[in-house]
Amino acid sequence: MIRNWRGSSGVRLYVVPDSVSRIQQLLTLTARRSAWLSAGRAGALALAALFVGLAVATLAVGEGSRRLGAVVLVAATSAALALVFLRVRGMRQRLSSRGQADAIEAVTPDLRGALTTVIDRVERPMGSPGLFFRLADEVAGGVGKVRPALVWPLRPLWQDVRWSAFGAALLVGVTAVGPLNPIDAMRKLLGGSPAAAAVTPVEADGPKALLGDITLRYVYPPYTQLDPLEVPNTNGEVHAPPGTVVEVRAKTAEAWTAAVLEVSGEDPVPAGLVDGRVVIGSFTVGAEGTWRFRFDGTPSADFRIVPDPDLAPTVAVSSRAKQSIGTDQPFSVGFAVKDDYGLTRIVAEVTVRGKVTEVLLRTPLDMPRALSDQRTLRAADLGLTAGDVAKVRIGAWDNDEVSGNKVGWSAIFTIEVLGAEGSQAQNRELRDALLEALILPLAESLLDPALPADTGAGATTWAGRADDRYGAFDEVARGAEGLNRRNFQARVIENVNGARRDLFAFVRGLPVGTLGNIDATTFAALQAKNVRTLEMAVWTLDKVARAEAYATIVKLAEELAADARAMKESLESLTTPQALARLDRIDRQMDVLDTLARKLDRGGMRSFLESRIAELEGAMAAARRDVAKGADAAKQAADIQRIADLLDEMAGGVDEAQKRGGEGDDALQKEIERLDKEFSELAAALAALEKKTQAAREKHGQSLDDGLKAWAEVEAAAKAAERALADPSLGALPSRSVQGGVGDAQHDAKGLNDSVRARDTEQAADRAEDTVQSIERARRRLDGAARTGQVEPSAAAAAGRSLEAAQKAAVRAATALEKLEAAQSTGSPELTEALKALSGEQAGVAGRAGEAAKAAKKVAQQMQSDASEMEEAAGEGASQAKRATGELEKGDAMASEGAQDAASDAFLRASEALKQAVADQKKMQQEAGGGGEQGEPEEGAGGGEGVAGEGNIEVTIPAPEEFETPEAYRKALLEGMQGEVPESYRAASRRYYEELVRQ
Amino acid sequence: MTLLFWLATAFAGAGNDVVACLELYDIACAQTAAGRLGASAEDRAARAELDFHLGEFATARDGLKWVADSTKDAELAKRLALFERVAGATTGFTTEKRADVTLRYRAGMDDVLLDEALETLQASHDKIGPLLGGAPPGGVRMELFPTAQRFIDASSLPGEAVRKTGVIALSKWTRLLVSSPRALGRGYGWKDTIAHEYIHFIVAWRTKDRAPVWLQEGIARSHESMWREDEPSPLTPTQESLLAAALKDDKLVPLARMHPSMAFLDSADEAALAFAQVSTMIVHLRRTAGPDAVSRVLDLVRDGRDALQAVADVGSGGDTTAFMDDWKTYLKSLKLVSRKLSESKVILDGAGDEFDADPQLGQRTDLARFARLGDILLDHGRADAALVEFRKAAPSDEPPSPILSVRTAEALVLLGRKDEAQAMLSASAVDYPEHAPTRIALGKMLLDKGDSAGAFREYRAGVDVDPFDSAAQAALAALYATRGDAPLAERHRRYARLLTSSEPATR
Repeated sequence: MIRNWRGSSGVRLYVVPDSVSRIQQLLTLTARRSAWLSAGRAGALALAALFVGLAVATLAVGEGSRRLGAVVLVAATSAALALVFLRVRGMRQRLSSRGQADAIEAVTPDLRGALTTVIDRVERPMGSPGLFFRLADEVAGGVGKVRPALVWPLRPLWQDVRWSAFGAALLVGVTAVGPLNPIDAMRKLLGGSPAAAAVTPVEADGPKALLGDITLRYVYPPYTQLDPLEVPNTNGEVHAPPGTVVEVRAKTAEAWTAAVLEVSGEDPVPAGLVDGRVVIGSFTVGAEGTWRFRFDGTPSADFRIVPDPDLAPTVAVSSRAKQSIGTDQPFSVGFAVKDDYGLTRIVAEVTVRGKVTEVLLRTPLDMPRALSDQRTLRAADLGLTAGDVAKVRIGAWDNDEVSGNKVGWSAIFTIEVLGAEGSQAQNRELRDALLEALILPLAESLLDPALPADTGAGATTWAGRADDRYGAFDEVARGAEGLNRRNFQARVIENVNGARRDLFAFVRGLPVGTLGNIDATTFAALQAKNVRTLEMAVWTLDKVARAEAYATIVKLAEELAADARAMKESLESLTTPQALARLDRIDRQMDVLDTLARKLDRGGMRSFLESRIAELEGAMAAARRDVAKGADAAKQAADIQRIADLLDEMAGGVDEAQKRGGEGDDALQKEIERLDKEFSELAAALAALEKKTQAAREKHGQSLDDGLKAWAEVEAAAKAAERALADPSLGALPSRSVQGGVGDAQHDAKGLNDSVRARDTEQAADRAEDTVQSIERARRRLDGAARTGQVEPSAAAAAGRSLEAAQKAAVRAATALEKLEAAQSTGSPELTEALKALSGEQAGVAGRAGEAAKAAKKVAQQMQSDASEMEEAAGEGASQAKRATGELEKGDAMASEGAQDAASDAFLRASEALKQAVADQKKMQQEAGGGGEQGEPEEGAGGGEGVAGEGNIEVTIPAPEEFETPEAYRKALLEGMQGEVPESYRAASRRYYEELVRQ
Repeated sequence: MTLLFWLATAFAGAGNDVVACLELYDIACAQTAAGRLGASAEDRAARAELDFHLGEFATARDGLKWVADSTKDAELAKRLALFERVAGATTGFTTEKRADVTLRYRAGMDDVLLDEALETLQASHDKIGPLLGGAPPGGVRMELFPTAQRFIDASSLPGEAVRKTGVIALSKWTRLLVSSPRALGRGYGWKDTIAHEYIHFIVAWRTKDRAPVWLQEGIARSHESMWREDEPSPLTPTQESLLAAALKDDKLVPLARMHPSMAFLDSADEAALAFAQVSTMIVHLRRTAGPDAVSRVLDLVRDGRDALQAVADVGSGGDTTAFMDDWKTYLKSLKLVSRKLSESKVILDGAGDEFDADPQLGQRTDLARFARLGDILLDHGRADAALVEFRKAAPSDEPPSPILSVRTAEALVLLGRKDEAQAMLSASAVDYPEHAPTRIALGKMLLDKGDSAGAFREYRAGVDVDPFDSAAQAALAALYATRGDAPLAERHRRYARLLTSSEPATR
């Protein structure tokens, strides 16, 4: 440290020794401690004064003396300030070095005078530095033992804090026992809020009328649709929505002669008195406040009124954050709305380029508190056109008639309306994503063993793993939610999910033990079906992608050829840069063509194009070089001529190839038409033969009456068995083992009915026996499940009755079949002759049927869509027609009729299946042609195509709310919504019944 | 022939002489006669006709146009339309002449055909001509068309007929019209086809065009490989299979049904059977009567003898029944392939999808579906699953498919089952020796295993069918180099460069 030292010779410098520094450090520490102790004591005393003042003021205000309260409060505040002042007065002096030195010397007598001397000399250097340094060293040695806590102890602070604690305790006590808390008291003093002002303080003076057994009856506003509610023996506090009428009934401790009801902020109203001790009154809930009775001038205690606010509805919407849709492509928006008391209307708010419009979605007639719906909309429904990008949110309005309707909004989502090209691109993207996502399920399914597990438990484990393969597919499918089911991609998704659901649902329902034959067979069949569906999905998606690429190639090749021809014709007028630019343009188109060619399969067209493109690239390069170097006109013309020729050749080849493909299609189409006609004719011919057989039997077959009756009996019994097995009591059983048994029985019963319809005595007898046995097994399993408690006794009893009925029917069928066999062996010779005569004609038809089956196989092999169902049906038809011939030759009229009927039916099915396959193929071609959904007919317009009834899946029922609601509406609605159904179905069902009611 | 008829009936003199020579497929004679032609319309027409036969299409067209315009003759107008079509179809062609052979083709990709086309024709001229009693004087001219469409335009055949019957080459107007292997996705045995058509030319010239179709085709089919081998061509496995089945079921095609064209038979399989029959008849004739037997038959036919009788005269002392019986006995002595095989469909200019050309999958869309699924899975790195689909596409009761064999082998290789892959390809190569992808895939596999002799054999066979596979050309070049054949190594290296160059047309 360097200091000025002013000696007799004037000012000079000297170095301050460490001893002085140590002294000064101590002084700094003690001064700091002294400062915060002083501040703490001032604060504690001030707080004590304030707490005491506040407590007194609260008491005063609570007793109605605002003035006193104010005075006390002001006095307390003044006292606090005064105490603070007193504490901080002289603090500067105390905190100075000299002050601190004095304080230290006061507790260390050895240093008295020395410390202050050193401090003075430091402040005012004078005298001999040597003496000063020696003194400083001595003092520094003395202060080394001094601690700041010794100089400034805490005790005085604690004493002041005790005062503060006393004040706080006083305040708490006043709050606890007083009528007001300090905050309310301050509000009161400061003028307060309206709510605070409404609170009428308990009158401090005079006695209070005691109330007991307070009963509140709430009569809610009509819009809330709440029934009146009576709450006995309450504490008097009212909680209700504004507008609620509260009827108060209470008993008083003593009899009174008059009473009024006082509600804060309102004039007193007369209250009724019964026998002087039961008081009755009512008021309407408005703002927050209090109520009380006043009896002959004596008030009761105050009771709070707390209005329950009617909040705005909440709206949850299930829609992707952004959806891109075609102009005519339906999309789904699901919403779930809730409100406290009721909803009046649901709207969609659409904002496009700053312009906001509102589209009404629902105006529910019954003002429900909750409403869920899944609406299928199109862009036009929201007033959108191609190119629009709209921000949409769903809003719900409540029915608050008291404070006014309030609206709640959903999150905002975006709808982008694509033009034709955009839609196609979107479809293409989805198609490619689907194809990619289906590779894993297909590949893994192909590698699954034929029967992945031989126990139910193993199969369930397998199903869990197998379902995981669909992760990517599910993600893509989720992205496609909202697509019209007529959309090609949507159908693919639906088909895949359908087969997958059938398989996994069946597997998960299997009993845990070893699989029975029927279960194993069904398992394998569903597995095969699932693989087939995946294969068709992948193949179809790929086929469409390739066909689309092909169609684009055709178009592009034509454009290229036209460009080249135009260039050839205008070559003379083109400048070099223009010619090069034209060549560049052709080059770019060629690149696109090259990319498209790679999307084709490894077939002839791909190699044809690749070969031509390679050759063209060479010709282009040569032409560009000649143009750039300014070769003579003849050379340039020759180059362009060559390019034009090559492009022409390529376009011609592509076009010709397409025509060739079309010719193949034409030939197939002709064969399909012929085959369809043949199916119809065969069905008719077989039906006619059946009639002839029947006529012959009726003419000659008197002895077959018994057989006829027996067939009728068999048929009735078989149907009865099937019906009994379809009883809902069997479907709801919780035991998978029993379910499996019932499933087997149902399978057998169906087979029995099929055989009966075909009048196949032998097979029907076998199936009847199978049915009897499988029902017996199911009954045993049911008994076991009931014994172990897996099935409730009542449910077991109901199911047992159904099984018993089914078994009896099956036994009846078996017995009748025995009689039938006996009857069939007693045909008359005339009938036998007549049937033999028919067998020739039948053989002819059977021959045709055989040919048709062969043709069906060939057509199925050539069709792009899956026509296996048609092939199978035609095969069955041929087989039955052949059997009919044999039965006629044997003289068995009934069996013949059955076979003829089955054959006729099979050919009709074949015809239907063929039409379906053609429709599927057409769909694929449409999709490949880029038409996609855009080019599809409107809903219902193509009723003859697609899956039966598919066109009606997305029923759009107009909003019901514009109609008056008859009383029957509610009932019909409720009836219509009975039962556990999916939410989407509930919503559709609801709207359906709303529609009914309107009509 | 309308013009020839017109000329022959309307005029005498030099024009008629030219026409007469052309009718006899004698170009040298026609050229000699043409020296006496004047400037009359008739002579100009005869000159145009000769130019057309010589392959000078633009000159022929212009010459005939002048005549047609001046005479307004409807027949000439029709002929002119043909000349114009042919001139259009050969636009941009260049001419290459070596020794007795003149080749017109479009430079560019088809340059890879040039050397071997010329060599094949010259070898046919040199080796087959003498076998058949000599080649027509005046050399041989051939057009090689880059697409089937150009071939159709130049051939005067209806496009529909060409595409339906798969006719890809023709001997007509004293010229050979041949489609480039590029016109078919995977090529074809184009060199033997060139020889085959040249044989038609010889036979027509030798018999004054009196040989019936069955004899023409029998000689051509049996002799088409004799430009490179000393013995007649063996039947293809497919033909053997068809012949074996026909013999067993006694369903041989009668010779009368082969007239006027094999193309009128019911199916490709029936046509293939007919070819097999007549080919083996000629082979049997050579077997029994010696190498000059065919030439003697041609002499007899030229002199007006019935063709079958001529064959019997040479082959069995004039007894046609005995000849036919002996032939059937000979057939039964052959160890014919008894497996069920089908003839590949000819798919031109990229028509159809990748499986249409397959003898099996081309007929079975349902099986082709599995094959395509296998391809998709293979492309996605799922060789294991692809194998399942490929197996589905090849039911054991159906004839094997060459495309499927290649695909299955590809999957097997990816799964590390190379031996199985090789066995599959080898079996397929036996059944379908002209399926280039099989041969090339097998060649690659053998090369990988260090069997350069086997690899050379397979690559050579593959490139002979599909010379446009640049990788195969490169591999073949390397193999030639290994064998010390520098010129051929360089040739195939050049082909590979040509096919992979970004400027193939600017060679």
